[in-house]
Amino acid sequence: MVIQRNKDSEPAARADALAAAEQALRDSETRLRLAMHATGLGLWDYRPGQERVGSNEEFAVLLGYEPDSFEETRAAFVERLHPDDRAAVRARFRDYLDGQCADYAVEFRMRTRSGEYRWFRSVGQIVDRDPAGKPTRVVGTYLDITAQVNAMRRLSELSARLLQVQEAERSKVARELHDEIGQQLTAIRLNLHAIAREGGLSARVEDCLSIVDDTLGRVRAQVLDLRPPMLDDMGLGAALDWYCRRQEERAGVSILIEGVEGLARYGEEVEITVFRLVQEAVNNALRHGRADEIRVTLHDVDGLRVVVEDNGVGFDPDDQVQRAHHEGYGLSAMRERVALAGGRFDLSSAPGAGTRITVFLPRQAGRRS
Amino acid sequence: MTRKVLLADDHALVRRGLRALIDSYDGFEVVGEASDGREALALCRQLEPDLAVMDLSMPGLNGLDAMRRIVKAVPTCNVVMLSMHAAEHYVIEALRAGACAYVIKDAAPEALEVALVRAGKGLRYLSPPLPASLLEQAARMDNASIDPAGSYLTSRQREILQLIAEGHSTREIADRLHISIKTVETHRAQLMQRLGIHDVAGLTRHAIRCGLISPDT
Ligand SMILES: Nc1ncnc2c1ncn2[C@@H]1O[C@H](COP(=O)(O)OP(=O)(O)OP(=O)(O)O)[C@@H](O)[C@H]1O
Ligand SMILES: [Mg+2]
Repeated sequence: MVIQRNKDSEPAARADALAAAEQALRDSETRLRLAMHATGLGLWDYRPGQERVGSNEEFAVLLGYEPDSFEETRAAFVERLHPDDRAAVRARFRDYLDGQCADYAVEFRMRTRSGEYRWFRSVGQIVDRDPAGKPTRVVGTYLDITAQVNAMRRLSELSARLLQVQEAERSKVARELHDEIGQQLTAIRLNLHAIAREGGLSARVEDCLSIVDDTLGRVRAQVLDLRPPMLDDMGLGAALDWYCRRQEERAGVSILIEGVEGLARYGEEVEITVFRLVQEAVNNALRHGRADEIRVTLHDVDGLRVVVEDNGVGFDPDDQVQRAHHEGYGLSAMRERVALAGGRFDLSSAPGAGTRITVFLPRQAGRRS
Repeated sequence: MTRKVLLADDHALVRRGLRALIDSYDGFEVVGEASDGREALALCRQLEPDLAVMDLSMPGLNGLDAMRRIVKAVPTCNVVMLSMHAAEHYVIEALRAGACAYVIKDAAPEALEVALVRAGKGLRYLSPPLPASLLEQAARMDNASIDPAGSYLTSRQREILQLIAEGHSTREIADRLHISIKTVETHRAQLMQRLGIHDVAGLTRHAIRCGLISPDT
């Protein structure tokens, strides 16, 4: 069969197609609006050089304004930014427009109508350029992330608290074991010896003595693991020196330590932070790195610089998959402890290239604000 | 002649046990008990005992600091330091702070008797298993004009330096310290680099200078 083409039907078909396209556009706009409404996403539409900034209803609502009377401008946006975030956000946006960075995604605080600051995540993309390649239109979204930011802050407070509580508990248990249980056992031991001196060493007394000695040995080992008394008695230098020797003998690897002799005394928090850090780093180097040489270097440069490096297998610190796999607690606890003491933490490692942890702690511990 | 002993330990039960033990030794009598460093100092001034048996870790004024002041205030009183710690850091610190003897609490009770007898005569003593070399080391560290570089070695480096200077081979040192030969070599390399000395004769001279070995060994 041959289809007869009707000459008159062409414009009609075109009109239909146009109508369909318009309908599709409307549908898609509706869908977008619904989606933005449902997710609470604010929209911004900025043309460099123009003062007016396009926005959707949600944007007004996010900031606490009536959508009907709200109008966004460049100046209003800048003014609304938290003073501490202003410079960074503007620099980041400029860099994005200049092509210095590949994407624009920032988190910052904006003042809402009530005067309260809330956290937002803004993500934007260049959608139009002039023939010279200069961006002429950038469109993006706002998401209120105040709840997440607060949750993260709470989480980091909690994990800091957890570390403090753990440390306090450890030191309490260590003290209890050492001062009470250990001393009672020592007293029993002395009495048994006195009994032996008076009445001769019977097999039973001898038996008791060996049980007491064994128990005492266990108690002391526990105390050492919980919190080495040497840290409090003789300071960080002696405690690390001692710890590295013990590990060297236990693990059969070389642990070189530098800068411990003549090391000044620091505040209790700094000393325990560094001790735990070295402990964890050395353990990681032995367990994961299978290193046979570990170097621990301490250096007082108006604060304490600590470096722990190993010649082990190394790893990729940015490998998220690996990170998700190994639910390790050690590295994040290190970071947390260092932050808590107001210091800086740096980790560098690569497969086959060993691992190096560098930390700087101010002389007096205290979280930076 | 009976020697007067002052006993200082923060734990009453331990004090009681120690007292029973010391009273059972011939020639010693406990004349006073203190439960912390401050009290020990005051009682030493008051009673002028011949010997003080003191726990190293006590609350308030700890044993080390109390001892420093006791040996200054009552020079005729010799101190026997009691401690649970066998790490050389403690021992050397105690000896340098003026302890006449150092007894580990886990040591056999005879060790305390030996310590008292020796300290009673003003002789130094370390209970087993502490090596007597620590005694010499601490003494020489005090007397010799210490080369500051020597005192900035770690305990492991000092130990290895001493053994090298005494003429031990790398293998012997490894066996003795229960570490690998490679570890000994690594430490030795670091040590030489630190001191800027690259031969055994130089190391030996250095060990003598900082009191690790005596010139006649
Ligand atoms: N020195 C190192 N050499 C090689 N891999 C390392 C080293 N340190 C850390 N890693 C890698 O990083 C992961 C995370 O380490 P982290 O200390 O946080 O956790 P963990 O040691 O696995 O567990 P935990 O410390 O809680 O017992 C490790 O599982 C390991 O894969
Ligand atoms: Mg770990």
